[in-house]
Amino acid sequence: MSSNPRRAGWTRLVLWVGMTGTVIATSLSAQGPTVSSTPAEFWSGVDVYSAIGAVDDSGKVRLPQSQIDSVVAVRARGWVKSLQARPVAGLQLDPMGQLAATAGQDAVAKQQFADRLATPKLPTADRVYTLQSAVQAFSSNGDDVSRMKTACDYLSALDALPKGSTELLLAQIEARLAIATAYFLAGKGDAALPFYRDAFKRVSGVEFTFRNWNLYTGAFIDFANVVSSLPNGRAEIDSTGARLLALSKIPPELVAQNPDFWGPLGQQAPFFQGAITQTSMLGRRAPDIQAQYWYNAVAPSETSPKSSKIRVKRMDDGKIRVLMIGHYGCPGCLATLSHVDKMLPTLPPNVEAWFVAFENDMWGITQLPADDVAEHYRAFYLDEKKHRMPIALWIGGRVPSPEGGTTTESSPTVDQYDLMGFPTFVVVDGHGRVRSIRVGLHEPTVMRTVKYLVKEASNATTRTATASQ
Amino acid sequence: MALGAPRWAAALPVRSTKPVSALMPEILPADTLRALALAGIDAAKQRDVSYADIRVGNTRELRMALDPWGYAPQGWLSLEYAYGVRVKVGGVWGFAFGVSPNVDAVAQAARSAVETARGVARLGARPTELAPAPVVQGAWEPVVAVDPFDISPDDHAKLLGAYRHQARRVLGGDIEPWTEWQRETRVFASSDGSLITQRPLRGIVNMRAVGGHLSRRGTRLPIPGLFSSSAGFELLTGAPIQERVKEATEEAARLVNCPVGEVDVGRYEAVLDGLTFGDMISVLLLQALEMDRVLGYEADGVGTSFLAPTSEFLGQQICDPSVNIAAHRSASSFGAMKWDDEGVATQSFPLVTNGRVQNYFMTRDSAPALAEWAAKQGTPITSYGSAVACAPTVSPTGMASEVHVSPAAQGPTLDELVKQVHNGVVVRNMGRLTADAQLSGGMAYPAMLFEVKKGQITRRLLNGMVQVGTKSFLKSIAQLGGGRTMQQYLFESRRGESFARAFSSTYAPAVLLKQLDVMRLAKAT
Repeated sequence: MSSNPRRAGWTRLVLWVGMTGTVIATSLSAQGPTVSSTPAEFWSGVDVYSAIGAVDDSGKVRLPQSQIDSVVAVRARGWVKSLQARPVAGLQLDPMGQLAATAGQDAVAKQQFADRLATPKLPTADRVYTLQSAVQAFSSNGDDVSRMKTACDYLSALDALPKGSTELLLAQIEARLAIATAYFLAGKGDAALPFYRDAFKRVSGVEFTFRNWNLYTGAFIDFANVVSSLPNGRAEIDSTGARLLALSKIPPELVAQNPDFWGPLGQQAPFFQGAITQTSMLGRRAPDIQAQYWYNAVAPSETSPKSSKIRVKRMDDGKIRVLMIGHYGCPGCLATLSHVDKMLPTLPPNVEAWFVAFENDMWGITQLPADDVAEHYRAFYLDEKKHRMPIALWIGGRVPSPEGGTTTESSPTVDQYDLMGFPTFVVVDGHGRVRSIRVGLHEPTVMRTVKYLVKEASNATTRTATASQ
Repeated sequence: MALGAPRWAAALPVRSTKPVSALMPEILPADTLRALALAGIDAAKQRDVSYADIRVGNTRELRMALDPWGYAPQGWLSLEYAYGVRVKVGGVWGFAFGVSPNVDAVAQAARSAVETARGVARLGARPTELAPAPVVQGAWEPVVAVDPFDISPDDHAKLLGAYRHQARRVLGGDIEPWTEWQRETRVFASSDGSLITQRPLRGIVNMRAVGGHLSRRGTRLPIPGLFSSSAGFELLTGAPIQERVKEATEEAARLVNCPVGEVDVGRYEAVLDGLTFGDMISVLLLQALEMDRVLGYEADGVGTSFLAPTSEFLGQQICDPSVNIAAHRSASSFGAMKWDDEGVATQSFPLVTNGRVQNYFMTRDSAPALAEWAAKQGTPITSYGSAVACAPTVSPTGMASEVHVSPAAQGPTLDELVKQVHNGVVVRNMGRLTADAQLSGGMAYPAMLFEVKKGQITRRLLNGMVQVGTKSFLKSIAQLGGGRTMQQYLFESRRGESFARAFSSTYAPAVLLKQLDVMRLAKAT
């Protein structure tokens, strides 16, 4: 259920929390006593598993994201069965519908939502909530044509409600983003785009206080990933980002009316600005990797005009690449490398993960010839740490400094990225375009982007094949 | 004995589908705790003490929360083992504690306590006598349907997530999902021959429904029916509580939308909700009723009391005759125990009756100070079982565990109290009141202060500060609210060196005050 778009907005944040936690011997098949008694509690259980993931029966191996949906569905079927022994009513009908949809019991789910909507004198806010829940419940899988149609039908019902309430506007945005995210995860960028665009257009109509920047920021990054492949994609990323950024700033009149108006609301603009920075390279051509030393990989044959020792690897050879850019003096980089190693076996066939390292000619406090420094790094990364990912190592040679002394030559690859911190993870598509960039490893986000790009490439191949027939 | 276990293993974020008890077995079995307790008493008795007692405790604690934005659980587990030996030598007390679970260490602590007492005696300390108490041998634990340690951290998280789901139905609404469970096996033994094993359970359920959660001005209200207590996990589950979560969040959201204004400094009629009244009673009155404060034993510790000497206050009117306050420690009340930390059977007893002081919180050591009053009342000299050692490492003190301020029979609701106010304020969920060392007064910065004109709430007042003198506050009580206004305030204090957390619960109704001093903290710029 990690793909449930309702939670997509906060997934990137909570997963970070989840990943820092210690999982103690969890197992879905070895349940302890349970006292959950309401659909809302069980529905929250779906959230728990979606947010923190699950491990296998041994309690030691974390299940791949791709398996979690099916594991949770099995669990949800048991929960639905236990709940059906007693009548479900009132507020509990909504989570019961969501739970039934998670369990794959669409008819039951639809009935719960219908029962709730048929409640006499149901306040509009509650009606909005139910319809939004229904959209989200049925838009968990962008490949499921029938369910996505159902989700769109509920969205139409939501849009048909009398206009005017903030609750409705928010629900209309969030429901659209739920559908868009489902399509995004299915690699169907074309289908996702109208929903993203429509959702973002509606943000300005929401009262500032209630704008959900946590959700919009995540959606904007996904949206940027999608449009970065379009001919005018970069322009659309910039214009949409600028428009949303303006909407994330506290309006002066609000501050004037209430000078005490700050706190989390004041942090929205810097938060969204982070997304703009992160997406600034998206859609642009990825700089070639230039390095003198290549480990766990065959050195490219192309050389740099500057030096025959510098080899150049182009990024537009059809392979999708995850690049970790960092260096030895960065503790976070060293700590992250083992995680990259662990990712390697989980990557699809046409995807590579690289460590793009940049160093100078110093080892410790000693200046050494480049080959000697490189040998130290090779011994560290390969012999001592036994890293298996391909490594492209740049050793900057001595060049005159403006002050008249010497300095080392910076990496042309890193210079072109203009990075904010290390390690930075860049995902490049098969056409050599940057499609995702962020500081620090957030494995779910990287894998999500990879999954999208693989599907995008596959869809493109299918379209080409169909067109040629 | 299975000794040599670590004292604690703290604060790992925990997520699991296995029961908490499986993740965190008790450090030492009860038999071992009893054996250690008896070893401590034996060691003390060999040193010619007139009295000795010991508390040996083995505590498990689980805290569960959700991350601020979503549904990912955050959990902490901790284990603690400790003991504290108290001895009386020549009428003078000595105390020592330790955390090494072996007979030699416990015996050494007992010897150390004896040396302390002898040292203090040389300084001329006043010998005291103990209130009589029968020798007790027994065991007790509260009866609960679902022990929170028998279910998994994930199930705890599911419940909190359900609350959050219901709160987030409300525009701008949220909840601060947080529970804390403490399960202790505590053994008490004394040189009189008492040997008691108890397994108290404390559930701290201090959640608030939030309105305007992204604004610094967010409002926070308690969830009706969601109380900290010694009851089991089952009390937190079920659809009705979730509906109350939504209702409380809706009310919090309504309060956020109240127009705002600046405080005008002045003395106002005031309505306090049960939470605020409970806060003020806990901090200003209940602490002042601690006999150790009254006798000056805590003068260099937590402070003294304005209710001293006792002869000037016992039986005297300190507030409106409608005010009745009683202490409890039984059944599912917070901090429930069958016997207190001196082996005295716990019982309910009046603190204030018809506005007059009736009793103080005492120990066997301090109860004889009220011998004259007890004789006048025809009651025995007793502590009523109100001695609390908030951890084995702390010597017992007479203090509140759970206190009830009685509501007025068929009394008014909060709104009905507000309707009686011509020009005043309403304080809701004030936050912690800060008091001086003598508890003669205090101040607080209420985040939810509202202006009332002609019986209607007109504005929310910003930058307000409430200042009270305890005696004038008590005399200012004009009318208590009815049962529907009752709320629970959970008071946390710290005792001992190194300190341990002490919790007490105060249930109180809303109240109408004749006057409350409202100050302005600073003008907003």
